[in-house]
Amino acid sequence: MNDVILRLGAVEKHFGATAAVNGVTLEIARGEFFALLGPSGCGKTTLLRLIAGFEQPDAGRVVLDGADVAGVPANERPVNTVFQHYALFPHLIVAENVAFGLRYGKPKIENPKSSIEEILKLVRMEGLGARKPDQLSGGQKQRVALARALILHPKVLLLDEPLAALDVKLRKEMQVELKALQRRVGITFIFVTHDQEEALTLADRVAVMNLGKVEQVGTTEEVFERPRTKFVADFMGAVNFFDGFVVRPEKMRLHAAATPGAVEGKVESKVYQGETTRWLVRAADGKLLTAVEQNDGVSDAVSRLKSGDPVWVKWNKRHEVPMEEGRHA
Amino acid sequence: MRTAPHSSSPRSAFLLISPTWIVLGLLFLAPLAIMCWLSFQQRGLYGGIEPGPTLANYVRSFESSYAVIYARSVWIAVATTVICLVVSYPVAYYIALKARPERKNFLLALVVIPFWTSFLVRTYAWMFILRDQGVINSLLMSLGVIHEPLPLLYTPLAVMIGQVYAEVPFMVLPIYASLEKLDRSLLEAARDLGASAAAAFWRVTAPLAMPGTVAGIVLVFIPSLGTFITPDLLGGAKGMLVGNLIQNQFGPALNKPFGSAVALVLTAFVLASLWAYAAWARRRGEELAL
Repeated sequence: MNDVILRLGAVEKHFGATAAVNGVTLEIARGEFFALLGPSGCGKTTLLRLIAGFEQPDAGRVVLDGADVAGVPANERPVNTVFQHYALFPHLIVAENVAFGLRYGKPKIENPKSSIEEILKLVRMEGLGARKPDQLSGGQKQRVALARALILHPKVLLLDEPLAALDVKLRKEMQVELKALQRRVGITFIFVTHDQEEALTLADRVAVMNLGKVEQVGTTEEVFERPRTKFVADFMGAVNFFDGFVVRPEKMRLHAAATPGAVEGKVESKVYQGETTRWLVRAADGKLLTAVEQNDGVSDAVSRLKSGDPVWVKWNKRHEVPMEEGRHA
Repeated sequence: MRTAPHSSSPRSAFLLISPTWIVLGLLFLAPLAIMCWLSFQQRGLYGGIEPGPTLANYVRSFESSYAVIYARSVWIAVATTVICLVVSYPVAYYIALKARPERKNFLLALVVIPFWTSFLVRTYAWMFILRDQGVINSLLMSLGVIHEPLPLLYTPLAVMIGQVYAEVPFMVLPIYASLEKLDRSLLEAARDLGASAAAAFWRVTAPLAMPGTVAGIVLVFIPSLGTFITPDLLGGAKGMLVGNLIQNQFGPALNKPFGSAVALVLTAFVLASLWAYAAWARRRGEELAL
């Protein structure tokens, strides 16, 4: 990677006896949209707080644009945060919220009034500068939080579960908007999420975290299609584990009649999910296999199968993803 | 607005607040009405009452000889309030934001413990501390710092010390309640946007804790303005405050109509100050919104 904006070197953070972040090394490129993905308690939020400066590492280096910032307090780091519940100042109107950090900025911004208007326009909040935060919808609060951070031109923008507080429909809209916004401003975005789908939709690259460590870093496609560890495979929804390899459920094909090279089993259950149907099949050897079939109307014979019916499961050898065993055992 | 599944009918709402109305009516509104009536009557012989109506009591309450008492009362109440605020804010801040959660209740209990002893007893205790042969003077004399006892008791300073001591919990608790509710992520947001710890306090913490701060100021200022036990015991003969003036009229001076008039003038002054503050705060709020 030639243009690194943020380098984490063997960063550690302990709270009492527990290691929240246990030796994380990462490089994030300038202009990248990067996701820290993992279940709750995996250390992703602590890692974000270490980058923001709300926590200081017990060991390791946090190098921001060439300067080691470990030990530098949050207010002196050229990094800004969009908080999970936005943390807008309730006693200030939108314009004052957005202007909050301007007086500390270096160099001083020449015309604060016009840059506030400009940034509100960028997040599609023009004309709402006089509102108080409690007069805004969830999506609008999100936009103000973005504007308040982006107006300071941070080297890295940190987002803590940025869409978790929004309802499903709004979340989908904001995903698209956030991605477009990041492209337009060109600032490096690092966001924390527990939602693998959100990470896939938004991010260029993902670090999957578990127990304070990074399990795998890669492009969204790499992490999704070629998970290296059982944990990553499982977290990304690849649930058909075999001896030494895993197969994603949407790569499994079902057949209503005996097929050469297929595993024979019985339908255990099926869950209709709209675009797809999720099948659980009990193989002859007792193993439970999961297959996801498109509801495209091609194979009526399969879609008519009921619980207890015999079924044949087949997959392509090249979809077998080898697992690294005992990586963090 | 959503309606609660068992929304209370007007009748049950009335039942719920009726104890409050009974207590307020018997112990507050009725005496207030009686005082209002009294203040327009004339003083009779031996504390009796001659029927009025007259404005003489009000006219007398604005005589210049009383102005010095009012001025001294306002000055001591303002000073007490300011000192209480300066002393209490750090305490409330520490308990709400800095203390470990498991120690908070213990620290709050320490603030409240003085209430376990009677106010009168605690004020007497200050006499023993402040008098010429008291703890402070005998300590300083035995150390050779002073050779004559410092005149501490029966001074405005003594009144202020006693008053601050008595009122501090009423300042700590509401400020604590305000700070405790504060969303910590707002402070992190302020720091994140470049504010130093001090700037985050003045721009975020202090404005958001304003309701509790104002409540504390009101809770300390009003009783301090009307206090009579503290100046009576610690202030001496020259330190008369408006509370003592009123108390005297109902006691030794045997002039209930005049005492009532002064008490109502004091009430009117307090209400007017609160109203002026509310108007100022509202205007300031509107200015901020522009």
